[in-house]
Amino acid sequence: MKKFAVIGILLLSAMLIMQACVEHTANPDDTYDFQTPPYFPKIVSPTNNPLTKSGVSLGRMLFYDPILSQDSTISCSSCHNIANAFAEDKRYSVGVGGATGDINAMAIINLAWQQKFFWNGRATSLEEQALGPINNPLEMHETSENVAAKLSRSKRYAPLFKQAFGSANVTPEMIGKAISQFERIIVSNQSTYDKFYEIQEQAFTAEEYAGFRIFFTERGQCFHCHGANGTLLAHNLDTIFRNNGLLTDQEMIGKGLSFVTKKTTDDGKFKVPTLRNIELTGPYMHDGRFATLAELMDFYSSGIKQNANLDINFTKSPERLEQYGGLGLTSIEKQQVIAFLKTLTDTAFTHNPAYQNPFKK
Amino acid sequence: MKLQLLFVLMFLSLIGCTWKNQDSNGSLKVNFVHTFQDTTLQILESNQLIYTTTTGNKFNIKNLKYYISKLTLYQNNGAKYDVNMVKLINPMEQNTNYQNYTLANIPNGKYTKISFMFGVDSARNTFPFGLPNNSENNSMEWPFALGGGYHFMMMEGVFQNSKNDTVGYAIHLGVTPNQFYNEFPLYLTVNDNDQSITMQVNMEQWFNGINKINLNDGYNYMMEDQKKQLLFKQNGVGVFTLK
Repeated sequence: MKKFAVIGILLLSAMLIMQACVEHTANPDDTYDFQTPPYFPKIVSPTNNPLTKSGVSLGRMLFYDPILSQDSTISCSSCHNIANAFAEDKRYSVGVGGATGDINAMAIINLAWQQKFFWNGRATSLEEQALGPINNPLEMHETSENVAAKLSRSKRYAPLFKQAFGSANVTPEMIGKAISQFERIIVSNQSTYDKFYEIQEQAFTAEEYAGFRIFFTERGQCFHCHGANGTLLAHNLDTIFRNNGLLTDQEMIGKGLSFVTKKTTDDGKFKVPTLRNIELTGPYMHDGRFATLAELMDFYSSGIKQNANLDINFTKSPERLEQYGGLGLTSIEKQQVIAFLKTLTDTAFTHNPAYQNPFKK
Repeated sequence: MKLQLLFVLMFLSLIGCTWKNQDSNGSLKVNFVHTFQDTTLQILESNQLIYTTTTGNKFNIKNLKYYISKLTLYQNNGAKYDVNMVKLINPMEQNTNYQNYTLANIPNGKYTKISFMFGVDSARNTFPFGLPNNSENNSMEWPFALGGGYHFMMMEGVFQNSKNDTVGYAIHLGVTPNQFYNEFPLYLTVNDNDQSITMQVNMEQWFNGINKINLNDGYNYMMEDQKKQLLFKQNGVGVFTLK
């Protein structure tokens, strides 16, 4: 009898240890097989939100469903349109009741490799970011608690949450996890530029390669913020936010990263966005002030505003700043850089069936 | 009997994780402590100019990262312990002015010399991805268009130029053969113990070695300027001191 008791205690202990390791016992068949694209780093998926087929599928439905908004008129896809590489072609998004903000919607591309979210970095995880627009009165004008209650009552969604997260009693945390799982699998890696790693300069036309050389040398300096050889062409790990001279000292007070950190040295520093699919993601910058790539090039060439936090990659060229107000690119050089930027367009991405609206038949 | 066997198996499985490799018995933690001359280095976010070079440049350091590789311990009998490592030293990480690297499983013995390479050794300073493909290394990539590989060092900040304007500088070193070796005499006996040494990294020496660096001489676009990189390579030999 004593032996059985000891064995029982041992088995119970083993079960408790196993239980502690796994929050929701995932079905091995439900594991989402995320394939890291060639030449990309491995993603770091949070241990408390591993990718599952059911989670990704649910997240995709939520992403396209206006149920997330107060009056069921706005979905994530309203402002993150796949035709625009999950950005928006308007300067400012229109929220519930016609409300508009003063920030341009960021593209959703390769977020699995990114660290902080929103232009000012106020979300430190993709799960947190996913809930932001729901609670923003200028966007979905809802509360994540209300949405959780709506989804718990939904005959469509309650069983899907049960399948993905083990409970039909939906919580805001589960909503964030589902949406972020879908966002995490949105990957662009089939542009012309992606052939560069295999065949180097042969991937490009002469004009594109000339632009590539401006981008990746000290003539253009672009690589210092947007990654060197950079398969991701987004920010570097430890320099996510940069001041690129969009604002004057007076204009930048409290804007950008300083909104979060409250440090004046972070005034006017915004998240460096990915350049992938940039041809499709205009208008550009945090406030969508530039409608075209040509305007963007003109800005970097001659429109930089000097301020106290201007990035070193600009202040290290005082002569260029003084003479040109920027990089001083010729019109031919600007065209070459634009030609290179267009090699980042990935139509396989925008046509990927796995990213499309699941409610459209 | 079966129960006793079960307990023995459980005990063995628990201690199995903590058993040491009997063939390797010591460790050495190398602390890289950054200074400007003999004072603790401050890496600033602001444009305050807190340092002065021997050539009179008032400047600061806002960003500093560099690689060391091939850390090796030598014994008098010619034996050496080479871990074939690469480590990115990033004093900005966690707001500390030091970083460390631990050599584990060092065979017992008396070691009389330590050496390491500044930069990424040529075998790994390649395109694409001579180093593990991760965010840390990717942010140090040296563009293919400029030869590929990795930045050996990024040191950036602002200084007061000859017009009294506060402007940026960017000392970026890379490209084989701009690596260089550092070696120091060592008095280290490894005998089943864990030890540590301190490597002082005096940033002033980058500007005040055999070459006196004046930031007004154009240290803003040096990735394509091998002559300027060579000046820093020559100065770099005096940057590290074993304390």
